[in-house]
Amino acid sequence: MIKMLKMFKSTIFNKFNKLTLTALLFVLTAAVIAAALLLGPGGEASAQTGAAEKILISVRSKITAEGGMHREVTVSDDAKIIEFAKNEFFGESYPLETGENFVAISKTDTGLMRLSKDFEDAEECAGVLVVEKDLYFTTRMQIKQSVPVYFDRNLMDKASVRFEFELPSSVIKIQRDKKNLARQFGAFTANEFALNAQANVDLFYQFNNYGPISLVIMILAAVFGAAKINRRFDFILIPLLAIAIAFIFAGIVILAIGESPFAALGAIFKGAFGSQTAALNMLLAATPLIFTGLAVAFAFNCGLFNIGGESQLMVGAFAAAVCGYYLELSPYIHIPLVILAAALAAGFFASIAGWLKERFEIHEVISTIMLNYAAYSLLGYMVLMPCFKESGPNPQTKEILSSAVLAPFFHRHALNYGLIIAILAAVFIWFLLYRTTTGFNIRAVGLNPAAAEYSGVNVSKMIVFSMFVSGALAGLGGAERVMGVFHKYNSTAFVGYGFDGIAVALLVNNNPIGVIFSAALFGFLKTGGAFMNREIGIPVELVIIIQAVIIFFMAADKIVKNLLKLKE
Amino acid sequence: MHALSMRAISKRFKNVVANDNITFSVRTNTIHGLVGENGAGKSTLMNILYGLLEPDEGDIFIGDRPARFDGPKDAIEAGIGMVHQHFMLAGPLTVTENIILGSEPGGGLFLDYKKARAFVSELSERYGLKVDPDARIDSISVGLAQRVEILKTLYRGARIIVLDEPTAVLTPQEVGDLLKIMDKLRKDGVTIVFISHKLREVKLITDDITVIRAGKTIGTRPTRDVDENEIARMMVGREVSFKVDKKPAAAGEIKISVSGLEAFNDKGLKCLKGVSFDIRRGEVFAIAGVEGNGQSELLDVLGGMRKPAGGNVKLFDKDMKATDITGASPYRVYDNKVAHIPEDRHKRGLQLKFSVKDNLVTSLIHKPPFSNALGVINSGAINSNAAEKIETFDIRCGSAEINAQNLSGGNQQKVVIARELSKGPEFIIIAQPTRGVDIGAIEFIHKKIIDLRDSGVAILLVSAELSEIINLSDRIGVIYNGELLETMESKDASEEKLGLLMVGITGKNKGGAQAGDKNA
Ligand SMILES: Nc1ncnc2c1ncn2[C@@H]1O[C@H](COP(=O)(O)OP(=O)(O)OP(=O)(O)O)[C@@H](O)[C@H]1O
Ligand SMILES: [Mg+2]
Repeated sequence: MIKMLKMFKSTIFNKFNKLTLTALLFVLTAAVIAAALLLGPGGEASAQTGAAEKILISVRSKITAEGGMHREVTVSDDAKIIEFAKNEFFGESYPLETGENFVAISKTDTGLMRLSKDFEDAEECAGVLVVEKDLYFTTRMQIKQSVPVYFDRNLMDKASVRFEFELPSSVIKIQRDKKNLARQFGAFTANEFALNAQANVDLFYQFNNYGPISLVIMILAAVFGAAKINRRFDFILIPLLAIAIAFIFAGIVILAIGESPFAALGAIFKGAFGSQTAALNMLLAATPLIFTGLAVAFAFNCGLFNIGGESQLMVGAFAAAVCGYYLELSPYIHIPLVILAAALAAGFFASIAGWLKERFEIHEVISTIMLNYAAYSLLGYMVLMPCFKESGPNPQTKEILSSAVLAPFFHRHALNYGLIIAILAAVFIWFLLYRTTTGFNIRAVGLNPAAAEYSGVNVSKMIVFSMFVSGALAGLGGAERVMGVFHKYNSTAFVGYGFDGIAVALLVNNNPIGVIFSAALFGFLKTGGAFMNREIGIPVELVIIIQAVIIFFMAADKIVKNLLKLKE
Repeated sequence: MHALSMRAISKRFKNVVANDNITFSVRTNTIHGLVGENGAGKSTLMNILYGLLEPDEGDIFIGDRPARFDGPKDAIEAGIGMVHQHFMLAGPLTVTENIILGSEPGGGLFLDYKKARAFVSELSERYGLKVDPDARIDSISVGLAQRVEILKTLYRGARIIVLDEPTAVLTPQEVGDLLKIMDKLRKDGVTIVFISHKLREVKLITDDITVIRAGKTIGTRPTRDVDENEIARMMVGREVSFKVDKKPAAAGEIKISVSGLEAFNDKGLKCLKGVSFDIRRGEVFAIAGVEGNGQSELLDVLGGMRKPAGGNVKLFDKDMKATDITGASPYRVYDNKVAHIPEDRHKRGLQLKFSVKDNLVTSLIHKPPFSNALGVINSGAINSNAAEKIETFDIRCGSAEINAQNLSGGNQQKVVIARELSKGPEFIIIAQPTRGVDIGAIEFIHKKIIDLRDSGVAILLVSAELSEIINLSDRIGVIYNGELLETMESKDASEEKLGLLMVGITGKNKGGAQAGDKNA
């Protein structure tokens, strides 16, 4: 049997020029997938979730200077969905009885909103409780009745809140007439941005839900062709192939649980590219991953496997939160100072592992894991100390001063200048590694410490230094989250970035510039996955499967190379 | 009857044609010598045979059946075994485990270690390949590791064995043993391809010889029809002189003084027991000794990579002002105009995953012109340095951008030598300078060393080749069991005399000392 396969393989490979063969194969796959996508659900002929008419509705409220609320209640002529209510009893206790079924909305890291209860399942909902400012919220919620919306007192003097709900047709009927829709929107939101977002969505639908995917795959095929001609493209080719395989694998898994893989992939793409907000969300999710990815990549170049990005980021975040609150300075000094503090704190924290390695030969994998636990506990304790903790039930620090806030690019979206800092950091790290003697020596230590020592490099120093820089990078990630997104340190909000950073770095073979793109990919999977989950109910874990498969094939790049017959 | 034939094989790498229409046939049950300069394409050809590389063109026949190997697995199935130029054993595992790795007996989940062990013992008995089946690989000598490699191929039922430069790293004693083993294998019906730069061995053991040059077959001859000089001429394309021309040394002031040096080896045993010597400017001092008698550790201590346990090392400048470098870091040692050609180029001498041009500047990178005061690298300087070194040292790499690991063994050595000499040293430690280097390059390297001496550099030479030691050096010290037994003028030395001293037999205690084998 194996013999036969082998013969089959060799005849095929002998008959065709390998280049044409691979190109052909991929164009073929691309065509098949594209065709399937075009025929898949989600287009005009969609029948899968017939219940939901995807109509976007925006409701906007303003809080007046006197502290009152200007309500805008009705959405359209024939349906009344959401009722805004002003409540006099703001503050620590909310006007909701315990046990009442309500929905609290707060921001998550990706800028998406988190619902305290699954709104979609809520039969009855006593109200929506808004506890954060500058909300911008898109979801397809099954709102079955009118609900009041309550605002936290802290929001009274702050910016407005806007919801965009996609409503099932059972609740509201609106003609799917674009002009009409725009008119309705115009009635209560003058916000250009919202209109833009809406327009983007429409464009996307016109183009067909799955057009972009087929396009991407076509591009992939072209890249394969190019890579076959010139081996210099291997570094991009192999991750791309790993990604492609991962998506195919994910498709099979989705098929196995009885859903449509095309709808799922379509949803992932839509969730990350479907609108301006979606794209911004994706970048917002990618930003900290650039930092943690760089942290892992940098240490790796020195032969160190830093698993402690998780806690290093938290240490940086905590330092940023504390300095952001306690120092009162002009933003021009305050912001750099907070960033520096975060980097230094995390850097020194990570250096412990470096020092343990060079002094006692304790492997950094073990020490960084242990340091993770040490940091979880220590920060968990410190956040509760009265000097740091904000009043209220949550384990989080006081909000940083506005002079330490990294400005967002757009009103109402948390994506901030941290992204620019991340990209600059990547370029800087690249320069450090490939254009300076320090980097040269670090890479030498990473590849062959004995030879590096022989050529006069102080190996111990390099190890400690690399761990320092690595930790500082992770710490910068923490600073970005605090200064740009959360504005406080919270014990639970910073989980996962560090570990994702490992995957981000591995995917691009620890190339600092590559980290930017690989972080974008992971941001894409995260936001897209969350959207897919809301849209068609496939668990977010699917995205984790995709990530895992990508990593697997990157780690086992021999398999991929073999698939491509890249053997020399 | 041919055991294997490779027809019209071509293999190109980026800028190099490694094999250019090579045809290579080996008669069944013979030992076939494959010789050629560094980078001629020997290893490439054999890697193709072993399925590690895919030829661009050409066909392979095993017996008279065409064969197509997708990987070593296929080649092994076809009865081919290969012992690589650089070993591929797993250090922490035992001999038996290494041998059965990849084709474990017993099937299923569990390993029948006992059975495997018995089989290994039996195999090693049969071919006189004595090894302790339970020893850990990283605790045995190179010679023994090589036996393990050979056993590994036999264990997989190889009938054709490729030995890629097996003798380069062996002591003369071990070489003798290996040749005996090869002879035994031939008697047993095994066919062997033997690659070596040591023409004496090739002449001694092979039945036929194929010479390749710059990727092309020059010819195949029965061994008895050619002599060493003729092989050399076929290889290099010109006459090669095996003798080193040198004037008597004009030794100057003392450059380095070592006194009472003591050190421990990796196993914690005392391996240097008070070694003292001086080397003057403009002289070559050589240390002869059976491997494992402390010479490696001595070089490590001098190069700053091992802390001494006692004694001291002093360098003198032109005004005889002493600098104590006992236990200094390599960085500081090099700052004192010391260069070091290490004995293990893969472990120490090279960054295999760095490009050739980068390897030519490791340890120089922090100095101008390669970087500025801010530590920013000047790639222009690195490139022009590479171009110059590749030219003067005749490094055949096709492009300075390729990784050092893709260079042929001899060319890797030239990279190390080129870099170390460019430090402008006043004292240079040279270990095994011509290991794995072809005869043309040996001639070149020897000449370089003598030029260096004549320009007033103090040289410490350690080599397993006694002829090299006698040819190059001005004075010779013999190291035995961590002590320098005797120092003599080279003109008074002979291979026999050194040979006796190296096993601990001095004039004073003739026959008294036990000729302990330090390698086992
Ligand atoms: N993977 C590779 N990429 C690029 N060039 C390569 C690669 N492998 C080998 N070469 C080149 O091919 C040529 C032949 O190399 P090969 O190792 O076969 O030489 P060799 O005859 O075994 O030499 P030596 O006696 O020094 O071991 C060399 O110029 C080498 O640099
Ligand atoms: Mg070779």
